[in-house]
Amino acid sequence: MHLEEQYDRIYKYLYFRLHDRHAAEDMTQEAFLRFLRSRTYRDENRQLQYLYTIARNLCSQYYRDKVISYSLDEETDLPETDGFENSLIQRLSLQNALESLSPEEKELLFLRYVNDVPVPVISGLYQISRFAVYRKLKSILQKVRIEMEEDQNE
Amino acid sequence: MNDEKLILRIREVCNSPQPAHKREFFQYLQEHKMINQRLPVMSHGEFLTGQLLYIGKWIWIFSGLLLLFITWICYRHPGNYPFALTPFLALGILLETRRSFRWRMAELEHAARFSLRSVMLARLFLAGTVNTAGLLIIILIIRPYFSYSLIRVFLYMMVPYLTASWSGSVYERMHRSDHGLGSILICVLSSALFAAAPAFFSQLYEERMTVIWAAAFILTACSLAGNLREWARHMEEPVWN
Repeated sequence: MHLEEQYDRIYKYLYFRLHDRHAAEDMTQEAFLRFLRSRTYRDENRQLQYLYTIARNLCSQYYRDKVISYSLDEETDLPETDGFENSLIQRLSLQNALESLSPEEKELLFLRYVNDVPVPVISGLYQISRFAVYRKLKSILQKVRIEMEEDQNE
Repeated sequence: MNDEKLILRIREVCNSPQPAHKREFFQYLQEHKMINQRLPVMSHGEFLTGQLLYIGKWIWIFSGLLLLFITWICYRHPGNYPFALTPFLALGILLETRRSFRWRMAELEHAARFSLRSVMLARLFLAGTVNTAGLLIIILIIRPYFSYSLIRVFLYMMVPYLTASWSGSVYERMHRSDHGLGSILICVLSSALFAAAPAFFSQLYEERMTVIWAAAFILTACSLAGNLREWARHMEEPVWN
């Protein structure tokens, strides 16, 4: 596991959950410090899962301390290069479609397709089988696609 | 919009700013020597050694006996037909892949330490490497019993073996079953084909055909590699979806 590469991904994940870059970076560093200080953890092949578990727990702690709405994001910046109206419409309809997903679905989609977290790690994080992860991902993508089509038709 | 395009779009939408203090953080870790506290990672060698113990003993016994039998046949009755026995060497490897379906290994994955793909590829690699190494050793041993050059004996031994391995792996990839009848049949057919071929095409083992054998060797080796790659890619997801 390459720590510097995972730093970016954990930060990305926490930013996705918290929508606050300072809090996301603080928590990323906290997650890494806890991971590196851990002397009890010995399962060599589940380090990534362990790191994500720490990050998730930190997030839960953050939400417990401070109730924040969990929505995909007014802060997410639109790319400046995206000048075409058509792709802007598609992008907005995708954002709306993602908004319609449950927090767990959004997180699953993010972990697998944005952060490239391997399926075994996700199944370990959620304590569900790989079979369930595959099926959920497939149905979430289908749901996003249908929502986008409906949004564009409107 | 297909899945790949949709995933690319999702990535664009979920962009995030770059972390601002990454360099300082890793400097801090290095100064405090915390970066060295990383947990050890299992090497490929350790993983392969672990998997070696799980391959059925009967596969090694079968391969060993077959290699001895081929050597003995070549010693007692040197001719072209011992070459037709090598497809059976692929049988053990092909039947090893079937075990995952028979024992429903995919369903145990959640509790398992490694993914099905890693396990299957490791076992295929181990069984294939040991069998191929055994075959190369007996090629060197039996070479003096033939009037052919070493390269020709090598090609005559390897092409039937690779043909059976390739066609068997294509079959196993496309027809997932918990019995090994298809693989057995493919090995028998490959063997019969190479045993009967000289009767229909008498020039098959002549020196001028060596180029054809070499081309067949390259073709079957590349096809086998391509098929194994495809197999590894689709080992898991299509089973569930």
